[in-house]
Amino acid sequence: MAYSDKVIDHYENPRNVGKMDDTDLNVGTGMVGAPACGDVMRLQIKVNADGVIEDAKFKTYGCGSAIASSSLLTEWVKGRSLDEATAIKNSDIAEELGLPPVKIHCSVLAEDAIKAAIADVKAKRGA
Amino acid sequence: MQVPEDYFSLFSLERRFAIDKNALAANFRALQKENHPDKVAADDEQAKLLAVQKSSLLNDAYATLKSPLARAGYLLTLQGVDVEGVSQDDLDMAVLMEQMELREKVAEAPAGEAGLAVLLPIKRDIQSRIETREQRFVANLEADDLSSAKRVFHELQFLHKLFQEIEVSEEKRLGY
Repeated sequence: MAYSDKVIDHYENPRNVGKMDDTDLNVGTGMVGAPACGDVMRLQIKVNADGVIEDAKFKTYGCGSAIASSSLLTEWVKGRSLDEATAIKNSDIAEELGLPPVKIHCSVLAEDAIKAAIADVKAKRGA
Repeated sequence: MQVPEDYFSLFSLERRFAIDKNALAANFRALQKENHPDKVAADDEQAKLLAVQKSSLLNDAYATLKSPLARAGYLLTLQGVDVEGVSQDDLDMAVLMEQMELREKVAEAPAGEAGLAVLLPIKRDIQSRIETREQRFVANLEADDLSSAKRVFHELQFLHKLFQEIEVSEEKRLGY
């Protein structure tokens, strides 16, 4: 299967790979996976006092599309409010990366990850 | 040809996770021989088609029961569990962390043949994790706790997939 140039770019030069301190109350972590493909994805966001995502990091073990989906998403969420980030749909990611139908589930995984990270930071800050 | 109730009965096996692999292989070979297309009259198109269909069924059934992972998934499917549909709620955080950690270890193995010595103990570790999970799977099925069995099945999927990937990596390192 041929990957699009955008997928290859994110795969070869992934943006924002790394890990943030999960004990920080302003850091939200989303961990998701796809057992049949063996993919695991960790997506983290750091939210400032105004509720804006000021930083995002990810680590994904999986195929090129899963890596590209999470890499792209970390770029997109920076500077956005939690509500704006929640509004990002997997179809936006799939369209931007030109994912073929068999790889749409990778973008779904990324959407699940950001939603989980947002829920995590909301729960932490609410507590 | 009589359509068997399920793959287990096709091979005269009890419907359970632990199976006699020798009996499975022997029964598969016997059925294959019995069903050989050459036994059908050359001009009997209908019989030939049936033989081909049955042969394909036998191959699918054998492949499914031979692989412990596919067998586990099949047992769940027989109970009406959708093993293809996975929601994140089906996966425990601890399981995802376990995968992340194991994959980090694999990624840290040095390139080339030097990495082989690092990969071997990881494979052994994964193998023992698989065995523990299989025991849990069997216990869950026996207790008719299908939702737990489905969770364990997904854990097994992760572990088997990683195991396979390590084997591919080993082969590459050896230049196969």
